[in-house]
Amino acid sequence: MTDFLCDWASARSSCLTKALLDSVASNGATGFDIYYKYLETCMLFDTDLNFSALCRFGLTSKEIVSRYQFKATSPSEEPAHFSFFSQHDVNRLGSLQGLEIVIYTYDDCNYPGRLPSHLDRRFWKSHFETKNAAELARRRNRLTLFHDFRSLEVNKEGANPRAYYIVTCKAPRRLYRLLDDCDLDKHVRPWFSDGGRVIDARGPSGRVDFLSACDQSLTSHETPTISDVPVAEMASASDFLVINRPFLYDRWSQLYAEESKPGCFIVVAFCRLAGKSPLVRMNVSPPVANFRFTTLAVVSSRSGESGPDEADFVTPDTVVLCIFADRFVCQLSDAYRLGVAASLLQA
Amino acid sequence: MSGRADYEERGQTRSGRRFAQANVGHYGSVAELLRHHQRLLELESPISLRYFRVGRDQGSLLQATLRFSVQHSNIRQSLLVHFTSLFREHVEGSRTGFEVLVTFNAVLGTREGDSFSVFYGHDYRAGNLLGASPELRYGRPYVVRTLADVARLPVRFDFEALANAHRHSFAHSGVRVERFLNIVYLVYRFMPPQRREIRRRQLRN
Repeated sequence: MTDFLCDWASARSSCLTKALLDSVASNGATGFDIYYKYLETCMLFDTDLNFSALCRFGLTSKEIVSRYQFKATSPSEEPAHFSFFSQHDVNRLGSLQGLEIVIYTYDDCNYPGRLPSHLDRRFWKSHFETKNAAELARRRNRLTLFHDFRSLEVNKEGANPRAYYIVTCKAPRRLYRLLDDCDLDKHVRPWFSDGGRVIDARGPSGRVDFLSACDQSLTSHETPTISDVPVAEMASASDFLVINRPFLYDRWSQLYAEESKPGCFIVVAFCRLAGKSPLVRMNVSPPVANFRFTTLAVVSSRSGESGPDEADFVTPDTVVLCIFADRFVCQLSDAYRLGVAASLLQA
Repeated sequence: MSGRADYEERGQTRSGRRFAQANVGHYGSVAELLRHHQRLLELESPISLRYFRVGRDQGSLLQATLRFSVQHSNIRQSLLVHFTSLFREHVEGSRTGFEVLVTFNAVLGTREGDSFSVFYGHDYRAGNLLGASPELRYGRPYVVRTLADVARLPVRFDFEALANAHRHSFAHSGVRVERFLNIVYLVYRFMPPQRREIRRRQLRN
């Protein structure tokens, strides 16, 4: 079952930010309660304090926040200090509520007929099971990841429950919360991929191994053969943060299909499409600057605590592997690869 | 009023009487000192965050303090967890990160061994721009631009060599480092004003 949350244009609508706040509220709480709880973490005064000295109407702090910060009287107006379009704010809200928030965008600009108000598992199943290959590709192109920090969960054992959302691009934008896991990850189009293979790190048994997936994406062979000692399975993207990198460099240098070996390999995780612009028009590739990749590792032959700076090994021909949607690995296309290398060189 | 007179006055005033019991600065033995500073013995303390406003509409400074006991066996993993949440919740864009200073909390004692106190590496003294006390600061400031840079932060220390290296730091006070209690990572990030604020300021001028 899917919950239809907001329609920006209709009279009963609220803005995306307030709709998001409403959607994470539980146990009879409202979006404003969540917003107040969010602000409370940085408030230094007592909840019941009367601000008669500051405000001639003698309002309490809660009333002031409701009237002036949350702007409760104008539902379509964005609240202050919190925005749907800020990755920080969404992540802080997630950690406050113990949720891992994942947002997809769906480009309904040229979609014949608006999306229905209930997008359940059956809808997506039939949506992506059309026999017409061209139509299927078109539909898949419409779906993309907007906010996804699942790869940056260090402690996978204690991972928070997921909250999946879909936001449409055509004004008036709609926000949906998926109440069941529709597994849309396998349908998202990675704009940033080089058009080659996208490897699913989840094997037939359901176990995730990112190291094998990286191995496969670097070689032209279907099943890479490695003659060295086996290494531990890497079940999470954050495992790359602690791996023995010189060893990994030797391994990947053997596998890399090209003649010349790069000075280093970079592993990044896709996190976010930045700003509001990607929501406006999705049928053009967003510029490199609008992508937020987090560098997980710069894998070079010599790196470590006392070694040279890893950025010294980065060159324009560096290969960049990207982990996205918590289970897929691909190589970045040239524009994004150069963008990642340039950001490390400029930093 | 001199510092000595200030200290003696403590206990005479109404608030001073109340706080004097808690604010005992010196102890007769290390065991007694540690009994009154149990929290410093915890393996790891929760992350502490502070925001400072810089000038008038000039942005703000985020300061996070991460404190670990010297007995902690896996500081690297804990640092990764903390920095992951810092990156998730405070860094926008991929070209910036955090500046990290490493300092220590230590027990200082007189040469006679009759008085002991705690020296905190986190220092708010005026004129000390770095925030870490110069007496116990470790190395240069480290820059963590990406999560991968956390691997470059020092986590293992030779405390005997450190105590030896800092033996002159407290020479003028007649005390020396008895033992190290905590490793403290001070994490800073300057956050410039948002574009909206810059525009508003331009219009005002």
